[in-house]
Amino acid sequence: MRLWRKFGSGLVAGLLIGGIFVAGYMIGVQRGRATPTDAQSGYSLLWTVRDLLDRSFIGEIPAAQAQVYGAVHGLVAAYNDPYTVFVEPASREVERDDLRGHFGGIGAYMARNEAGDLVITVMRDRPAARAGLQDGDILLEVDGQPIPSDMAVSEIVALVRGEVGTSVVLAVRRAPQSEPLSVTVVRERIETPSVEWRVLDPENHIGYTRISIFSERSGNELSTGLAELASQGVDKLVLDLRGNGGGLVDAAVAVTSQFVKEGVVLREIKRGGQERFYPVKSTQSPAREWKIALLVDAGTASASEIVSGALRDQGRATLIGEKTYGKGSVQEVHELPDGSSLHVTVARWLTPDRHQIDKTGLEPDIAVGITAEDREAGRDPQLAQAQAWLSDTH
Amino acid sequence: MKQNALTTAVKIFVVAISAMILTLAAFGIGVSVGASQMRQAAALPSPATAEPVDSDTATGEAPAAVTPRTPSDTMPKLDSKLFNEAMGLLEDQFYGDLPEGEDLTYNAIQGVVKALDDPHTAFLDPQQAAMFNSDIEGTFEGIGAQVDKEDGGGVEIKYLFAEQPAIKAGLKVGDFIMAVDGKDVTGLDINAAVSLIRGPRDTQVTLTIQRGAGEPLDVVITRASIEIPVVESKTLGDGKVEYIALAEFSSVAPERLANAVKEALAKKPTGLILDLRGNPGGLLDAAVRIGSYFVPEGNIVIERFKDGRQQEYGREGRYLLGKIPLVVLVDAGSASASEIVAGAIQDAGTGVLIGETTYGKGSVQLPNALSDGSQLRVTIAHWFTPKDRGIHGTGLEPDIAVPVTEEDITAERDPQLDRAVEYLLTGK
Repeated sequence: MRLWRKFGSGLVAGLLIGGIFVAGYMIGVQRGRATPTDAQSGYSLLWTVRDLLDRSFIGEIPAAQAQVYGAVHGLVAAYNDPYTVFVEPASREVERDDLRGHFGGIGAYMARNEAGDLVITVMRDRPAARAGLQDGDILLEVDGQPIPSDMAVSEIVALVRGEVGTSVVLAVRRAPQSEPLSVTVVRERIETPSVEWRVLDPENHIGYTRISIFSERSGNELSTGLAELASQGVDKLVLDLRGNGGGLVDAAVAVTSQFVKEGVVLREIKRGGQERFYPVKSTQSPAREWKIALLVDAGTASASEIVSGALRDQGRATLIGEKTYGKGSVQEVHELPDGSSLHVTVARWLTPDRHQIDKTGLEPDIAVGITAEDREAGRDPQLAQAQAWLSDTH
Repeated sequence: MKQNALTTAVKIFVVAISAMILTLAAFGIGVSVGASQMRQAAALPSPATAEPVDSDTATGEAPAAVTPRTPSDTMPKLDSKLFNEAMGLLEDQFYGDLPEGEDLTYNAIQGVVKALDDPHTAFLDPQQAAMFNSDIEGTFEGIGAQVDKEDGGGVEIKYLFAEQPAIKAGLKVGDFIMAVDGKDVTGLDINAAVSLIRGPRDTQVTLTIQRGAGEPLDVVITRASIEIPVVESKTLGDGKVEYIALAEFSSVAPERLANAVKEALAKKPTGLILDLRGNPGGLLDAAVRIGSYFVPEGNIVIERFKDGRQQEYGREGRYLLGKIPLVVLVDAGSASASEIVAGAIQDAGTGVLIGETTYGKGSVQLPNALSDGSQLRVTIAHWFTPKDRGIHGTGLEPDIAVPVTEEDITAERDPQLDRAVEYLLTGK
C-alpha cells in the first residue's frame, strides 16, 4: 500500500467538474499498513443489518462493493471531519493523475452542460483533436459503454484515460439530430503543467508566475520558469496563488525553497502533540533576493497557505488580495488494494512563527477585492496593485 | 446476535418513515395535531407532509425472507477486509476526537442503507427507535409540546397540547428551549434534544427558555403521560353532517375512530366526512381495521413482495358505515395508510374522495428490532388497492378535485370541507 500525504482543500468537488482538477497530496511516505483491529467483532450489528437488507429489500440489491463503499463512507462520516474522506477508485485515479502532472489520455476537457450532456473541449494538437473530435461534441459512449446522465464526470474521465499507446473508441454526437460518430483515439502522455510564467513589466523587471496546483512536478516547473525569467532580467515577481486549492506538502516545500535560503517551511503537530518541522531544502534558485508580491484569495488553501505563511514569516513576500481559505490540517492518503483511497486528517500545521491557519486563514497585508464587474470587464485590480507595489519599491 | 435479531424482530409491517416525521413526531405531534392544523400543514407544503410516514401492522407473520443468515455466511461477500483496513487506519491516525460509543457502527450502517437509494428504508438508532415506537403507540411521557429545530438553534415550540404540562407551566408557541437541565441543546440534533426533554412521568425537567429578545428564563415542568390526540369530531351543516378527522394510524387509532364513528352515526346524520388530509399514515394493521369500518366486503389492500408472492388483506371486524353517504377528504399530505383506506373506499364505492391528489406512497416497510434497541425499517413490498391499482409515485385522484389556495389559507377558509358538506347535503 502506498501512502501519500495530502493537503486537500474544500474545493476538490468543484474542481473535479472540470475534468482536470486538483487538490493535493503529499509525499510518498512509506508506512507500515495499519493493523486491522478487532473492530469487526463489534460490528456484528452491521452484518446483521446488511443481511436483513439483502434478504428482504424489495428493490435492487446494490453490488457488494457498493455496500462496502457505503459502509466505509458512513464509517468515515462518524469522524465528522470534512477532510477525512473515502475516495472511490475512479475519482482517486483522476486525483492521482493530476498530482503526478501527467497521464495517458486524449487531450480533451469534459464537463456537463445544463442539459446534463457531457461536452468535449479539445486541446490543440493533442490526440483528440488530431483524431477529429471537435469542441462541443457530446460524448455518448466510451468503448461501447453508454454514459448515463448521472455518471460522475470523474468516472467518465477515468474510463477515457488509460495506458499511453492504447486506444479508446468514443461515440459522440455533433449536431442535435445527427447520427452518432465513432472516433478512435490513441492515448498519449498528456502533461498538465501546474506553473505558468511570463514577463509582466519589462521596464520595471517584473515577472509573473502562477501555480495552479502543488503537483509532483511543480518544483521543477517553477525552477525552469524562474531561470527563464531571470535570463530576461526579471528581479521582482508576482507569485499568483489565487484559486490554488493545495496539493502535495513536498511541493509546497520545494516551491518555498526557491524563494528563501534557509529556515522552516511549516510545523506539523500530530495527535498527542508531537511536533516536527519541514526545513527549507537547499537548491539553486535565482529568486532568493527578488521582491515578491504574493496574490492570495479565498481559494488559496492548504499547500498554498503553507507557502504564503512561510514567505510572510520570513519577510520574503507581501500578501496582496483577500483572506485565504484557512485549511490548516494535513491528510495522509492511503491507497487501498482495490484502487480506492482513504484520506485521514493526521495533523495540524502552523507557520514557521507558529501562526494558526485552520479556519482563520491568512489576512493579506494589502487587502484588494475583485468584483464581478471587474471580472466581466477583464480587469484584475489585485494584479494591478501587486504590479504597482513592486514598481514602487525599487 | 443472530438469535436476538430474530426473536426481537417486531412482526410489523410499516408503510414508511422519514427523519422529518420523526422530528415533528418527536413530541408526539407532528403527524398528529388536530385536523385544522393538519389541513394547513398540508396545504402549505411543510416538511411534515412532504415526506409522509407510515405504518405498521401487528398482524401477520414476518415473511420467511427476514430470517437472517449467520453473519459469518455473509462476510466473504461484503469485503470486511477493506472496511477493517479503513477502520484501522482511522483509529490509528485520526487527529481529533474519536467518535463515541456505537457511532461508528451506526454510521457504517447508515452508509449501507444509503447504498440502497430508497428513502423509506431507514436505520434508527435506539433513541430514535424508542421515540418512534412511543409515537406510533399513541402515547409518550413528556411535556406535551410539538417542536422543531434548526441546526445550531434552540428547540422551537410549534404547538402545545391543551391541558398538558408544557402549556400549564406557561410555555408559549415560538419559545426556544436553549438548555435542558442546564445542558445546552443548541448543538444537538432534534432527536437527541427531545430525548433529554422526555422522561418518565412525575419527574421534573428544567428548561431554559428564550422568549423574544428577553433574558433567558428557567421553567421547571413535571412530566406527564401524554396521549397523542388522534381523532377529532364535530358536527357541521346545521347538524346534518358529522365530521371526523384522523391524524395518524397509530395503534390506538382503530378503537378511537370506531368510537367516534359510532357516536357520530348514532346522531342519524345525512352524511359523514372522514378527513384524512395531512395524515401521513401509520400502521398497516390500523389501516386494514379502519378500512373495514367503511368497506362491507372483499379486500382492503394487496401486498406484493419481491419474489412475486402476494398477500391479500381481507376486511375484518364490523362494518360500521351502513348506508350513510361518506366523503373522504384527501390532499397531497394523505399518504400511505391514508391512501390504503381512501383507495379501498374508492374501489368499494362506499364513499367519494374530495380534495387533491394524494401523496403516492405505495411501499411497505418492515421494522426489524435489532439486538441493541435500534431499528431497521426495510421496504419489503409494494401495495395495491383491492382493484389492483398501484398508487406508488402517482397517488389517488379525488372523485371531486377541490384545490386550496394561499388566499383560502390566509382567510381561514376550507373550500374542500365546504364542498364535502355541500355534496352530502345536496347529493352532488
